[in-house]
Amino acid sequence: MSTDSKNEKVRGNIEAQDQDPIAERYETVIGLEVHVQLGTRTKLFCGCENRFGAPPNTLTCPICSGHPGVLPVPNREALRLGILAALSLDCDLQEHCKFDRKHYYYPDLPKGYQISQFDLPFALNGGVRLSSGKVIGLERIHLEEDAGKNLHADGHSHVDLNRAGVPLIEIVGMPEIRSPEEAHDYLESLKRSMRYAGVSECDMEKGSLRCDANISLRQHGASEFGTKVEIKNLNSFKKVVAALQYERKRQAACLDRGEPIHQETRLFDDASQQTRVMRTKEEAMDYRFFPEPDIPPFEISTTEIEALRPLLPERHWERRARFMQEAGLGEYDSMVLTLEQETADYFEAAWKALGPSQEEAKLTANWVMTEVLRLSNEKGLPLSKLPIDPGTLASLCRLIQEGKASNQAARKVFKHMAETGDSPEKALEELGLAQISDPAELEPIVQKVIENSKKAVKDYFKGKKKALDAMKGGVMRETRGRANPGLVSEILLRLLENLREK
Amino acid sequence: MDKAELPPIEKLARLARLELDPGEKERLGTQLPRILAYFEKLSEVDTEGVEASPYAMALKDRFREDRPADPGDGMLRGQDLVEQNAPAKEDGYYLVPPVMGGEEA
Amino acid sequence: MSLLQLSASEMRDKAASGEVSPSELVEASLAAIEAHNKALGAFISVDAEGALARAKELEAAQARGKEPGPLFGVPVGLKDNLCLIHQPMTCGSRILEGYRASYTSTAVQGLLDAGAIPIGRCNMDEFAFGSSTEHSCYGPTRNPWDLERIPGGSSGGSAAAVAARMVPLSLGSDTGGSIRQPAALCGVAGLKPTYGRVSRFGLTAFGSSLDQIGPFARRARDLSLALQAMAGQAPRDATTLDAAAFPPPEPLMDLKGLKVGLPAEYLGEGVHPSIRAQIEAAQKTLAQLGADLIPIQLPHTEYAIPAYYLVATSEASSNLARFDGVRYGKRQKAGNLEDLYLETRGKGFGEEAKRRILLGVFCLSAGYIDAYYVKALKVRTLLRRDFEEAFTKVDVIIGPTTPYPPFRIGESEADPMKLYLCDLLTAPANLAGIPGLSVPCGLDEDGLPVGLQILGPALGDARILQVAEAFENATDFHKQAPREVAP
Ligand SMILES: [Mg+2]
Ligand SMILES: [Zn+2]
Repeated sequence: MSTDSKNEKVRGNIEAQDQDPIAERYETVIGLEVHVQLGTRTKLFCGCENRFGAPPNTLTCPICSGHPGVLPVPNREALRLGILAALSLDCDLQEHCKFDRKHYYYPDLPKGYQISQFDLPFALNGGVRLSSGKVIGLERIHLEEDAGKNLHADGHSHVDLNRAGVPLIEIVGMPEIRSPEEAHDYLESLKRSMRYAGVSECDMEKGSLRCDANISLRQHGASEFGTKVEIKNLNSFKKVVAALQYERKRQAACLDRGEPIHQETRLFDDASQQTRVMRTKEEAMDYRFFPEPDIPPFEISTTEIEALRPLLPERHWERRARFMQEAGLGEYDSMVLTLEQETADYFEAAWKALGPSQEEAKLTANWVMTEVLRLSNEKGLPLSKLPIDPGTLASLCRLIQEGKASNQAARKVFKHMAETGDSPEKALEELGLAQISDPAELEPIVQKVIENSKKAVKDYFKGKKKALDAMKGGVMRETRGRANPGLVSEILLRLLENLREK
Repeated sequence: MDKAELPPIEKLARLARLELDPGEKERLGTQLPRILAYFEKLSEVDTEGVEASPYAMALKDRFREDRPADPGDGMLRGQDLVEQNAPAKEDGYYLVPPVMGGEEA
Repeated sequence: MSLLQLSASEMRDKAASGEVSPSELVEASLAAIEAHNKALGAFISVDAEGALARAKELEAAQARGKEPGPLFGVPVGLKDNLCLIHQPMTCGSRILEGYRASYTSTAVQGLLDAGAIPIGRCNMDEFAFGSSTEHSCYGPTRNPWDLERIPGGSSGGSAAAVAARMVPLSLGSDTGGSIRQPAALCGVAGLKPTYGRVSRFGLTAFGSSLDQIGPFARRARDLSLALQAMAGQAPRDATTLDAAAFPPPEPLMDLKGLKVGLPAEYLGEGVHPSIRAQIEAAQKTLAQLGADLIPIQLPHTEYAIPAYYLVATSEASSNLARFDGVRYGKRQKAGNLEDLYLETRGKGFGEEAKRRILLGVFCLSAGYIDAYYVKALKVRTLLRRDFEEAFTKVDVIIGPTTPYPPFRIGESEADPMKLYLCDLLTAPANLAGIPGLSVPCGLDEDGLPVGLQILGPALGDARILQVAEAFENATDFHKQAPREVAP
């Protein structure tokens, strides 16, 4: 899977970093602010479509274009998804909430202000669980509108407002992350939580998950934080790690030289893999937050929360632990199977259809992690749309278990099923791959091979074990690979021993 | 109320993205402190424990359903907005002088 | 008698019965504008072609048997901060030169649905910043009663258009008195409905928590008809009230048992003696109609102006941030983005707009917001409580609409504070969200009109309109006209 290979690459980078002596001199303090686009049908304050990839300025109306006289009316579904996201991160939903205006001038910000939440965000506290079990605390989650996009052309910029007004939640984490690799783990876990909660695709390539990072260094054991630097424009997990690694080194070098760290906002430059100053503290923005007078305040009731809570699935880390315990799977397999809720659901349904044992779980897990995910990738289809459903996969696994199909034959059957939608039995028949496991059918064939292998038989009686393999090969050739190998050995040995006795 | 130290008029004008001519700078520079001084009258009022009223009316929970707008509702949309009013445009985009920190096209 | 001496409802009835045609009404209106607008500057632009075409459409529909609406065939003027799709809208500002609206405001759509015919765009102080209609990039509007004087503002064009019998009905917007004050100074009736009664969708925002759209007319009945056409909860405005439609109230024969509050603070020293005299006469009229006059107190009135200007300029500075020359409006040439903003806004806004934007930006900025904006919101709470308390004792509150007669044009230029004080008696209603109207109640010693302000509790629009209509029926002030256009 492509995500997998990306993960592996990043992990490789991180491990190389572990030998970095910076960790001996300084403690790294990182806090992440993550923006997640919510998967509503329409934008936060108008009825324009919330969709990625449309031609420029085609998903716009006077409201999201900031024309004179327009008013925002908030989208209920955006709040509902926000609440689900917050619940999945164990946040405390707030009873009294309001929207505020945040002012700054930028061509992709049509009104000259962003409608956001300032002092009464809809969720506080909560946390993100790392794979180590450590929980990074959250400060808050608030609801706000996205800006459009400024695109560079030569000598001027292009403004596209399709994204302007798309609903976002901003998840503000505590500065409790201690290394770039933990930051990566945090983002993976957060992304999985959002996808499990069904609130967002979290596709960084489409910008539906974006990250700003704060980083500072301090002496081990120090109680005060060092001066922090904010890094913006981090639009992939890889960039987050690379920027944090660079910035950690840069700050350590400064501190080593006895130079102060400046509080500033920096940009990560992909080409040089370095960060550079975007704004100094002196240029810090005065956002002039004040309550949005066009939108009355809103309340989140306990009733509403309790109605939404049952909609959330088992959390990804809980499910992973259960797969290890109940199904007896290893850590890596459990992680891969719980990366997406859909994968976990598929695996669990197939396993339950096959049988209760851990052995059956392992057989199923192997098939899901290899053939099923490969097929989904090749076809570009979600697991739920594959021609082979979990029940069918279980039937195929049962044929293997019962010795009716070899592993090799089963893989061919799987491919055939994927094309035709046939049942495993029918596919096996059609391909002529049904394993011969009937001793009555196999015995005459073995007999014939023994008769035609005079030299091999002689060698066997002289004690050459290899001769047995040659005869076994002969049987497989005769049956075009369909003979049950275990049964062939059994019959071969029995007939040879009979011969010796004579 | 704290007595206001009005920042230099140039600084305020920058914050508000307003180019002022010298005459305006002088007039506004003398008028604004006078107007603010008059606003100081509010410091006479004891507002201890009084809640602020940012909204005109005590409404709450006003949401819309997540339904796409009716295309026939009489509002201009998409490229029609660009066509009717954009001061400068190119390939369906609004055109502006170069922006730092934007995304690469 | 000229058709334009008719009230809006009289015009509608004659048009509905076929006695006159909408085209004849439009032509009469166009002729009056042609005759007087040069001197008055009430209209910024007139859409003669569009208005005549619409009149023809209405006639055709009528011929097909379609029931004529409650404003069938009535020519109306629209303050130039209201959107009407494809039509220019300038807000009296250079920055919106060439702008064409991309949709129609809910209020204007209501008038269209009732059969009204928009005839042109009325002049206003730039972005409604002002009480004199001198701050328009299209030049001032003049008071039809005395061309040397201001008509009041910011909806001065809408008020002057009705006073000069160019149209029987027009729309304005009222943030701190911008309908009631020019109505008073031009001798016509003007209504600021309860906040949230009429959707603000399509009204260029000035002070979002204060703005309300409302009508001007010569008769209270016409105000009711217009409010009926515009009122209602609107899906595109989250601040509209749940209150259902607004049926025009039944006329009252008398005002027996009506408790009328007389706030001492509204007839204080700042009020010009000749205005005071007219208001005292109006009190007698109401008493003769059977009303009980009850002295009351609105103790925080003197803080209304600073509180109002703090809230209004803070909100305005935010609402005007969108005028940046990127997506619409008049853009100045600039080599970089910063200059684009500075030049476009610097050349696009007039001095009064700049004054208010700068004040608002300052009052919201870090370190000052609590001392200014938040403090004003707390005082607003106290002002609101004053009214709540008063309306436990009385049904309506009356007083002058303006503290003094209209200035001469240019008189207040050097001292913006002088102009800000014009809103002393009108701004409290905006801070409290309550409805208020102004009806003519006589002429002062110089022969200039005086307005009687009637305030009611939230959603008490029907009540104040009933009182206004009863007052009208008992007096002849609504028949007074400036000499130029007298019947
Ligand atoms: Mg944000
Ligand atoms: Zn939109």
